[in-house]
Amino acid sequence: MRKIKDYILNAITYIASGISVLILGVLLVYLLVNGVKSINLKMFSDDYWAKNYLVEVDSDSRNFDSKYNGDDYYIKKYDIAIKDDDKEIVVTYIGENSQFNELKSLTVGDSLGMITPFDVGYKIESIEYLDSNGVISIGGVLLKHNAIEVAQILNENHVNSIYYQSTSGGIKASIINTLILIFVSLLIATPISICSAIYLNEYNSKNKFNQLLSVSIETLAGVPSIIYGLVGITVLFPVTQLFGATTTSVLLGALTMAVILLPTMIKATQVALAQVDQGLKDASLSLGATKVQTINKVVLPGAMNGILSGLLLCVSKVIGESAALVYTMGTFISDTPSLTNQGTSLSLMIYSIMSNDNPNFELACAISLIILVIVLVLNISVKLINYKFNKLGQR
Amino acid sequence: MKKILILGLVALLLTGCSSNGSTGNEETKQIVNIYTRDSASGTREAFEKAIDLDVISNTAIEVASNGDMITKVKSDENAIGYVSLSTDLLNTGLKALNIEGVVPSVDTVLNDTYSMKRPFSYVTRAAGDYKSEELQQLVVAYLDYLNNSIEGALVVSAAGGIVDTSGKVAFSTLKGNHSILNQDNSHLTINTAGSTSVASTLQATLEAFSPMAGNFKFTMNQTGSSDGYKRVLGSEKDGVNQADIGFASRDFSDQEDVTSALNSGIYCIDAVVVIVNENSEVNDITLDTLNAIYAGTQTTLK
Amino acid sequence: MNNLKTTKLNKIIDKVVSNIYLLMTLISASFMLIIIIFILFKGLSPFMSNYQYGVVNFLDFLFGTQYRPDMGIYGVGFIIINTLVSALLALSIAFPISVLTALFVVKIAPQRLSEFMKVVIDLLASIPSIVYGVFAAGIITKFTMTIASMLGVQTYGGTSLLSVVILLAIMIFPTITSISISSISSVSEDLQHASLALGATKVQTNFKVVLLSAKQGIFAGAILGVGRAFGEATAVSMVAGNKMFGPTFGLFNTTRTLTSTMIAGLKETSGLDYDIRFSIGLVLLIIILITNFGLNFIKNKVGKTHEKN
Repeated sequence: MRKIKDYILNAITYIASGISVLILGVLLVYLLVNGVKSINLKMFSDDYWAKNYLVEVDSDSRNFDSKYNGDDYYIKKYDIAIKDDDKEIVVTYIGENSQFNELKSLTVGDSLGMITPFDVGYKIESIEYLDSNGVISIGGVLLKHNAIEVAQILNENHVNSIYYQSTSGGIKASIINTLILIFVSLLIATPISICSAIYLNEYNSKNKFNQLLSVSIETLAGVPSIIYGLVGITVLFPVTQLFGATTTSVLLGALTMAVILLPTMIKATQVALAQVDQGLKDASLSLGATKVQTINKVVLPGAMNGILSGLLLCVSKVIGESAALVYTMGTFISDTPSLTNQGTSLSLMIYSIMSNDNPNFELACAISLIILVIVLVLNISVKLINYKFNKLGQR
Repeated sequence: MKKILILGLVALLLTGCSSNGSTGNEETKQIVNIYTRDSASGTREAFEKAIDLDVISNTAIEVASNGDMITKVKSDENAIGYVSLSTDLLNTGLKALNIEGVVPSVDTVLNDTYSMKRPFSYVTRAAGDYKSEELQQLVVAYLDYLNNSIEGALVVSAAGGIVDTSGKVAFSTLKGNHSILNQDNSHLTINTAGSTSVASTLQATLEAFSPMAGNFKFTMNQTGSSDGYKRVLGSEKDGVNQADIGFASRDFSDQEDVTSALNSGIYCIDAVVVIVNENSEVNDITLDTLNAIYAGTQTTLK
Repeated sequence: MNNLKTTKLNKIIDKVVSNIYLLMTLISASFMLIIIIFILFKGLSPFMSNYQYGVVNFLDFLFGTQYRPDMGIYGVGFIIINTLVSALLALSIAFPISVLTALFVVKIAPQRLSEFMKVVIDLLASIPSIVYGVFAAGIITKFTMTIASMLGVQTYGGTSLLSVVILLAIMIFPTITSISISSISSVSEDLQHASLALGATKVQTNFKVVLLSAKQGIFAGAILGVGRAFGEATAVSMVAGNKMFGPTFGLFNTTRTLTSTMIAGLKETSGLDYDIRFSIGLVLLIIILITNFGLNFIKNKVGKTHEKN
């Protein structure tokens, strides 16, 4: 009877652990199934908003030694192929000598007359051409033509101009914004945290004042991040205005994030400092070094590994934060990352996509996968640092 | 102590559960779940005006945008909601209901037989109130393209808006009036605000016009029709979210005095379409039934 | 002479640097004060008689059972109850699973399996809340719908109290588990050996001796977990539904929490609708404070009775 009871109790713990593994598995599978199709290398270098080009194309015929043998609609005159994709017309093949490699921009400005980029995956929106009677006509997606009709127009008529769009949905700007966010918030939070941790640990003179300081910092950890967002936009916004920001901005997000990171970083540093051997500290002091010298030369280097782990933990926190940043960075996905403009970090981008007019679920899952990979790499790095440090310690 | 708390909660839950919903009997009708937009939405105002609704039932679920409405109604088979006609319903698993026999389409809106329609209106900042003289000229050029050119009308209708193309001319004839188009404008940014329903037509026209106008940049911050007027002429016009052109998916109200604006008007018509799950038996609905459903006095679809 | 000079210089550097340390600590601690002051100030302003957008009655706000911005009704009473219900339910689901998993990892699993489980728990802990939100909106709502149709109950497309509870339980699980793992690992070996020597089986020792000794630490983990459940905003807002009245006790009814209210429909940056979010934030802070005090009080009482035994 005892044995059966024991067996059941053990089995229950196996099941409990199994549940957590199951949930992780379901989550990963769900993200993979929905997101993997949207992941491609181009995502990392593309802008989120499509670039618009108005160009002219050389209509003189050329001789092509065409190697195209795909299924899409092939346009003999220009050696390109197009197909229908949802409601767009997408280019799927461009021959080496095609005139489409030498499209000249018609947009007034610095790029007038220059060759514009044209790649597989770009979308042809509209074409202005001269029809058989010499009348100016417009064709393309705008007139609800499909790929066959567009192919026909291109093959048979003299084309005046073409309006096309580059690929979109790229995350390059958001990645840069996330990096700026991480860098600036750590820049602010790290010195303050390390100094505070040193004070709390090394200058700890057990009076009420120090206790109050300690308790305040600990309570900060329990405040939900959305409250930080509210406070950030009222208290810290004037600070960003000094730097020239007129709206919510990446800078405001970074400042708010720095405050959120304080309790985490301070605690991690405190733990790291506490692990430095007291004997080492005493030896240094007895050799005549001042307290500050001891801290700088003995304690800090010894705590470096813990501080590094704390830093990586903070990086994960920055990447994962969304509520506070919704208030302080806004949800507009911009393509020009800068400190004083609105922008989105990767997490915010997911939130913005999901609450947008056309929630692109696949893109949201794809970005989630990317975030997970980054976080996994950070976790492994922390473990490696700890492992290496322990190894060194054992020597 | 903890155990007592948990037992108490479970008891509450069980009573809560049983008082909610039917008991699986095939003959009991399914209660309809009503979805509406948030209070800043012009689509919501147009819809409530069309069905003559006083106060919406407090069981309604608020969604954030047209797209959010589609997501939510799609996953709830007992749902009823409403979106703009310009939203693409193909492949979403939803269908649009006929209103008193009339099918919502571009034709029925243009010949006035479909009643739930509303204008997409726009209003700009007052003359001289722009960040620069160049920006003001650019806005004027854009609105000329949007309202008077064939190309503009084509882009709007391709994006789902309903335009009357008679009387419009090729943009090449209008170009001459705007010298701003002969220079590089990549240092200028047009900020827009207001209705989310106009987003697809607005984005399409801005994107198409940009290469024709020196590659200006644009930022769309659409948060709801009532923010359109506010951010160009109203209480937020100098604030954090100020805009150059405000849009609303309805007429501007009496409190929204547009006489001081540089330019205001209507650039296309849109209709509000009632959507349900495509497996629903209902295909047609009357305005009175819609009123009853959304006021909460009728709890089933039929 | 030189030595005296450097020692004097060092002493000055010492004083300056230690004052810098103090200054930094003061800055960090002062944020708590700043948060309290601003939330208090801006949060209480809608109730003051000179409020510019129309004064809100404080009692109506605190005890109201309807939250309808379109009609100008702002009552958060039912939202408070909803938040408590969802957090406590999530805790009651996550707590046993966390503790059992922690026990498994520290005491029962073979070495490699234990390491693997730690990695799994770490991963779950580092997933950003927005990703959980996407996951919840996709899978958890479908799961709720399946259960509801099995019971013959209708739902609002899966957004419901049950989805919120499941989501919160998954999110606080790693927190409680990691802290429980530390607590259980630090139970003294002597105690366990003594128990085994007295004839108890390994399982009995694990469940009766180890768990009881780690009680304090595990409880602390639960407190942290509940705190996280109270504060979660973006993920919850995707599956709550934001019901306009309440409170919600039905598992398949839509619900609304303090945080989902604060983040929903955030469009304006001025006006009553915006400022009221600060008031809700104030209420949230107070709830967290009270719950923390209460749970800490219970924890200390439990600790005392345990010590007596």
